[in-house]
Amino acid sequence: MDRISVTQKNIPPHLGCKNLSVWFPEQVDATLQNVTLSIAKGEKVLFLGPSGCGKSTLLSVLSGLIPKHIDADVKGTVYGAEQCGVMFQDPDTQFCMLRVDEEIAFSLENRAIPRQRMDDLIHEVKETVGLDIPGHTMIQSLSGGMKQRLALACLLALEPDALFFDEPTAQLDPAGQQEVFQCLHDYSVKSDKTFIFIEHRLDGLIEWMDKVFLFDASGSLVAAGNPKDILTTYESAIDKAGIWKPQLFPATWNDVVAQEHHPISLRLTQAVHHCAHNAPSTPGPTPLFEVTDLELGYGDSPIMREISFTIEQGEWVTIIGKNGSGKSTLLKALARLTKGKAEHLTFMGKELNRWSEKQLYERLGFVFQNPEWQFVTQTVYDEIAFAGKLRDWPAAKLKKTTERLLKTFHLEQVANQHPFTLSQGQKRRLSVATMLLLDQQALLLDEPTFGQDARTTAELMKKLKERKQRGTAIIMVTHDMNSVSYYAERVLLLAGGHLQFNGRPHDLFSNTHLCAQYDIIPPLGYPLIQARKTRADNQEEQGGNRAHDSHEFSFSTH
Amino acid sequence: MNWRMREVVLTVILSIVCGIIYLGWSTLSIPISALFGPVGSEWMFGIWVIASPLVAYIIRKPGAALIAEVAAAAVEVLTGSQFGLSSFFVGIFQGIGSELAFALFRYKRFTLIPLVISGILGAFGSTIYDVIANGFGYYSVKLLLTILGLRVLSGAILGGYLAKILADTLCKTGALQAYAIMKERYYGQDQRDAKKHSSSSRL
Amino acid sequence: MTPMNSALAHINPSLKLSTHLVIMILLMMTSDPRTTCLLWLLAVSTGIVFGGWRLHYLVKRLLPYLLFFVLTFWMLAAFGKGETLLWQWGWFHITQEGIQHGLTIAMRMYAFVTYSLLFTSTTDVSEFIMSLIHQCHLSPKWAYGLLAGLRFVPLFQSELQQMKAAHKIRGFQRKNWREAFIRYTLPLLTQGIRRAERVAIAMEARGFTGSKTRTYYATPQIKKKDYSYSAILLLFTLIIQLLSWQLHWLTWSWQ
Repeated sequence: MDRISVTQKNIPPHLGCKNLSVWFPEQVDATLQNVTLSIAKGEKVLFLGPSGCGKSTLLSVLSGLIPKHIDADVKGTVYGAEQCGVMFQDPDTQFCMLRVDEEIAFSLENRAIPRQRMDDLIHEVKETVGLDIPGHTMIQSLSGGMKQRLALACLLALEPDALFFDEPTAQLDPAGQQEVFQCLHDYSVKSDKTFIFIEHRLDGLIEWMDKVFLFDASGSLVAAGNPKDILTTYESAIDKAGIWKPQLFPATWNDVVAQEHHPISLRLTQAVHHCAHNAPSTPGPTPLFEVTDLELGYGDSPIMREISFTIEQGEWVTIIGKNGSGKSTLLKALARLTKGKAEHLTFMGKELNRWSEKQLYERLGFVFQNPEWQFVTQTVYDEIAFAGKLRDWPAAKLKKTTERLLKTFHLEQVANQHPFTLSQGQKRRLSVATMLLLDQQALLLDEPTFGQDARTTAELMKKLKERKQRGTAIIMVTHDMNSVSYYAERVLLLAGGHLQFNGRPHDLFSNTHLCAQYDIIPPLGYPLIQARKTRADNQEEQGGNRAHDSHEFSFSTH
Repeated sequence: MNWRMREVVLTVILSIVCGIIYLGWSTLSIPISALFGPVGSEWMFGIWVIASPLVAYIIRKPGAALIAEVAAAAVEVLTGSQFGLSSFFVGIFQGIGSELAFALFRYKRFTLIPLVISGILGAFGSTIYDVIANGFGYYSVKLLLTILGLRVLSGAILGGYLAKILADTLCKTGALQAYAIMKERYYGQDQRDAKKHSSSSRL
Repeated sequence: MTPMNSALAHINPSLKLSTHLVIMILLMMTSDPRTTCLLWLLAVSTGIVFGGWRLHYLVKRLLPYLLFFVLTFWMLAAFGKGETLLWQWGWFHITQEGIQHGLTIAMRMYAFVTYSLLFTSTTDVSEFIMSLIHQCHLSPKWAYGLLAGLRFVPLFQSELQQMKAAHKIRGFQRKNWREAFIRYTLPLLTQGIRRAERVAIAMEARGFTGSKTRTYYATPQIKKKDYSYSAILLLFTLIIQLLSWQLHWLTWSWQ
């Protein structure tokens, strides 16, 4: 195509679009409206906006996926790169082979690279992304962070001019997230390729972005500029859109450590105070759960043994640990969804195995990681009313309770929709609401905030807090240490098949040794207090003439 | 007709899901058939032909029904099921049967009737295989006809009719926007494969 | 030695499969329990000699199918047609021919299972699919599509488990079969459809067009040893058939 004639002698941008609007066939409103932007070669940019604002669509247009592979009506001019590579959020759905080397080779095969050159090229990209594993390793055995490393290696094998990242860490735990950001940053330093990002969690990423494009909910471009300006100027808009704000940026770690009255410093230390003074529930007459010497596992090899703890009625307890440490298995055992070997598990004073199914699940609700698994009816309303209908509640009572829950969880508008058509956040809220109709005494949740945006997370936690105040015990598996420190009264840490810690979150996070040993990244307030103490000590020792080591964006990876 | 990549992967994945459903259904049927003999569980037969009408109804391309059954069978082989290679043969027989139904309507109609016929012909296909390989020819004629009758009925209801209900429910969840089943609802039948014009220029 | 690194694991998958399929078709044509049994023993001994099968492995993988063996035998013995009545009770009707047929078919199914196992236990999935491209001219589009989908099998299986648990908690009872069936399949299918879409887009985004103009990282070939495996197995089959013909055991299905 002739570039000059279209752009009227101006030099076309490396990447960009002019008056771009995009419609999807089934939608009335345009997903993107009249967007004009340009990105220079080698720039690292971030698209920011509320969920559903069309930033993902824009990324698909610029990378050439729309309209070539995804159907949509496109109006306007698009300046695409010659060869693009896109990394998607779900680590499992971007591969098509079973082993690492085959997967990288798939990129090369598509480019018709001769076989004899493949081994060297595979070796080269693996080295670039730090994927130091044998080529015949099965992809399914890799951790989420490693899978995304592999995904990057596959993209690099395409030798693209521009790399697109569509929420590459949304489905990873905090450790995996930091691993991927670190890997991408290391690569960006030595590469002159253009990087375009969409990302929810900004810590570890925003620090090295050149430019931020901010979109509003209707799909229009609001502003573009350097990250610092955008984040300060549009702070309230960003809050309103439910975007996770970075914890420090634009401030730096050194600023915050040095200035005790810095607003971020105040906020962080306050959070630590809150956590420190979070009073535990007073034990009631009978504990809710009493676990003694529990052994859990598949077949002959237990993944967990000698687990003992109690949970009081109305308590908020979180279970933490690395992926594969068995947190979900333990949570399921509490709901009798996996059977423990030793039968030393009591619920409300009665052995768990002796409860009838009906009575047990009237007192205990469980929210699964994927809300869709637990939906059993055709509409949102029926979904909430289901448990009451099953128990032949009088119509008036059922209607009242259901409507109250619909209202509490902001689902009145979608009451007649099919549960599967809801947004991620709505699905999550619905899955919690369905478990509360019977006023359950215990609510067990398996990573309820995983992959949710800031607003959904905040709303959900607020609802759970309200429930807790009405006497429901909350038992939650999570990776989100900020929520652990803010809400939990007790934390159970699982590692190596044992319960390694059972106590107040504050005591865990203050224990730097324990945190380091089990790769726990405590809320920022804790390293802040620590850093200040070391700094004060240093100043005392050395007269305070030496600046603290510069602490870059990698602050949270120890 | 050219298959798009997403249609290829969709066919494979739907076949896999069907294969997993088949497996669960088998565990239900074994005790029943042990007790009541070969006829006892034949009413359950229809589920085992559901992949063909389901995929054909969603993708609406010649070959979809056959490929779906064969893919489901191939998946069984590749996942190491010991019945794999036998199901591969059955799959081919059933698939040809089911495919025939849509061919009869020249791939123009994808409504309840072709779907039901597809289930019925799938039942015929599998019975033919059972006569050839599994000794059904040794049953008395009366018994064989009863088996066939039950399969046809079950194939029509549990195969064809259920496939339609399932796919229509799937449409309500909004998951099938990009496939022929939904596109026909937006654009009408003639344009189900036509690529929409784009007024953009890509540089 | 495990089946996956045995001698059989190094035989070209397509040729191995075709050889087994030929024997299976031959089995379909044979209607004599003794010949069928010999052909089954051929599969077992091949597995032990070339396929790295150990006795406990054999028992573990083949014993569960004994139930099918008994069941098939019983069905044909009790419900099959025949003249020479041996025993009758209720609707069961056992004849000599029925027993003969029952034994044949049960043996045949067992042989099918064993030849299947002989293939699946010694074949690597990606190698097999690559071999389908190169030896059977399967289009890359379908081959890679198949591979992409296969990765999800374990995922779907675990999701089904989770869903069963979730339904238990909600007190969902299977009141009517239609409702229950849709409940279980719907989440699996929607999840599957979304995954299919994402995988297809990811593959296309990496420049996959499905056309045949591409290079290959792995190109399975048929070598001399592959042909010899095929030849030896078929030779033994032929010897068994001839032997049973000599002994007047052999009858064909159409006779």
